[in-house]
Amino acid sequence: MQTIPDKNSPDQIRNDALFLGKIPSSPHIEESISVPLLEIRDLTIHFIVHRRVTGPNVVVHAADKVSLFVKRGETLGLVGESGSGKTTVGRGALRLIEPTSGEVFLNGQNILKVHTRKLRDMRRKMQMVFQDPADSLNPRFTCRQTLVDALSHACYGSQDILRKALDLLESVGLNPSDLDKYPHQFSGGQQQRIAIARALAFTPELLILDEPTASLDVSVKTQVTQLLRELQKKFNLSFILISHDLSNVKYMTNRVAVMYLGQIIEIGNTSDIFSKPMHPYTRVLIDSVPVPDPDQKRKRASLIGEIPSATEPPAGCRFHTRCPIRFEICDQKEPHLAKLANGHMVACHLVNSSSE
Amino acid sequence: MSEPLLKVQDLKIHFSTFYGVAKAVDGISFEVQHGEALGLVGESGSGKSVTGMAILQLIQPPGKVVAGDIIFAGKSLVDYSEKEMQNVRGSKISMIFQNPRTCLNPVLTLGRQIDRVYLQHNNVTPAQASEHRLEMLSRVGIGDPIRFSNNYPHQVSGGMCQRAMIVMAIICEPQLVIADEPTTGLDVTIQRQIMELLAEMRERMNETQILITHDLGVVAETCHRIVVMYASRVMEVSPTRQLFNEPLHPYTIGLLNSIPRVDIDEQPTPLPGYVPNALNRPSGCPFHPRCSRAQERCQVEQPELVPVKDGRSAACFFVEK
Repeated sequence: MQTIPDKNSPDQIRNDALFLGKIPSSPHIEESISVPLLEIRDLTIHFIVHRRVTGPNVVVHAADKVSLFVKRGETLGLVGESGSGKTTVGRGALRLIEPTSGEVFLNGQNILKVHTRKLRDMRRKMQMVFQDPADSLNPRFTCRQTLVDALSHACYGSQDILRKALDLLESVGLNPSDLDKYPHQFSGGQQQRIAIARALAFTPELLILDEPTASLDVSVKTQVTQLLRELQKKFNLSFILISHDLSNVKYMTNRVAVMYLGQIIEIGNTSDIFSKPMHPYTRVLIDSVPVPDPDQKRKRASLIGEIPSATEPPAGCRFHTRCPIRFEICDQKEPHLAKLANGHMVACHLVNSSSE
Repeated sequence: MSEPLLKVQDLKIHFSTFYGVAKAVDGISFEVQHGEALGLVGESGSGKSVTGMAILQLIQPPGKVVAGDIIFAGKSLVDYSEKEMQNVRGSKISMIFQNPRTCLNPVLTLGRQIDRVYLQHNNVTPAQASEHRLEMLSRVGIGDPIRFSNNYPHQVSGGMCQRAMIVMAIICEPQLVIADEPTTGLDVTIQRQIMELLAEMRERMNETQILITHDLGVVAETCHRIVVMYASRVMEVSPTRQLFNEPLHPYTIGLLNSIPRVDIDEQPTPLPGYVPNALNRPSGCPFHPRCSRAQERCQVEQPELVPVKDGRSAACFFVEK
């Protein structure tokens, strides 16, 4: 059973105000400015794959000792090739996957330690927008049903629900006349707007966006990213943007974490990462993005081979099998994340040795 | 100027559905010269893939080529019988499909699938085919061709599946290869490898390529000339450099401004509105509801694709000649 909050409780009043865009940010900001909204410490997620009866089980190292934080109102990008564990980290942060070890703090509270009911309350503060809206929206629900369903879980009374559903629609740029349409009657971009509206129904503080524009058309992509940025300002949201589209990440994020085979290999401010990437992998990743400018004949480093299997990550630095500038120590010793200026951190022996 | 390898003339492809006729391709024309890489760019639903399929006569009912001609090496493919087409497909024109996993046969090893194409078109023994296959596989940079050949599609990565598709497409050394979104769904690092491979194949085997994609970055780096499609029509045809430096059509301009870029710091401006539904295309110029320069004339009259300058053409009333 869910508790129905008192209409005049401070939380409810804040939610209402947030909905109407009256207050730009949480009133608790000042007191908790030093505590990041979300902090992940040493998050490790291993999947155990049961092989045949005879063989041993295989462990997939989807995420290994991932530490990161997200401040209020900022966007953190999680980038990497498929199989690098970025989605796993995103889901682990919401405890949609039970982590093997590590800690996840939301507003200073460890979500891995709380019991189910409390977790449900905390999940309202963090919502997820999935990659393909056609899959994540219920095809048998009209837009109204989708929003009403979410809003009723967000504990709104029946008399307020419709008003709030309309507010939500307006804030994502859809018309009230769209309320009674089914998902298939919308285009991909509009479907994603509904998915965003649904996530906003809970007045979350953190949105985890898992490739939110990957399935959208080129000309619609930017509309959705711009909408997300507007909503972020309006509701003071924090985002974790999981994406392999580096151009979009550059445009949307404040900070970026680059992942490779379940580990963060570089993290820092977006401008630093894109203007002076330190890790060879980050460099190749940025260089690999095709640029719509035929005059630009940059010398491009391309990467040989493919990302190794996460069941047996290479020893030492996990990137050493593909690294263009590896040297002796790389396949023996695992580099740790070393701090550079401005919160920029890199896990590479070459950088570590030159900075020491 | 020599005769182009492929000429598409006023092609119209319609799909009759329960809800009405969807004009997937509505009167498009373009040419592909020998040895050229042509980019066919457009958003989903613009008709670019259907055009590619039509060249190989692969349009299935309820779709139908209702008008127009496709002339390949001086002969009209539209008049070919199914049997004659089978001799063209794979040997003279071949196609690389977007999703290699769904296009490869899951119950055959990669080697057998590649051999089938070669055996179909060449009078050789299976042993000779297999020998030729191993040679081709090492040419596309596969380290262990024998082991690769013995794998089933699910045992290898997406990038490797795409390499198998590419080998199937080029094993008979066709004159024209149509690549339909060959790198979509692959990681950027693998995308780069596949793009390099396609460019290398073009140079080494003197292939002509049509690259169908929505990614302007990919065509900028690989193609000589670009055809921009929108809502079943060609909006602009232009050599690559001119298209990116000085786009003519308002759609091309809007599209270029709307994509975020990794190399510069400019903020993108999104194009307003949505791509129109294929069943319900706007009257007049299909782009007018989203166009900033649209006037009354655009709502009624459909602009033709007309030559502008320097071998460029555009379908807009307001492009200066």
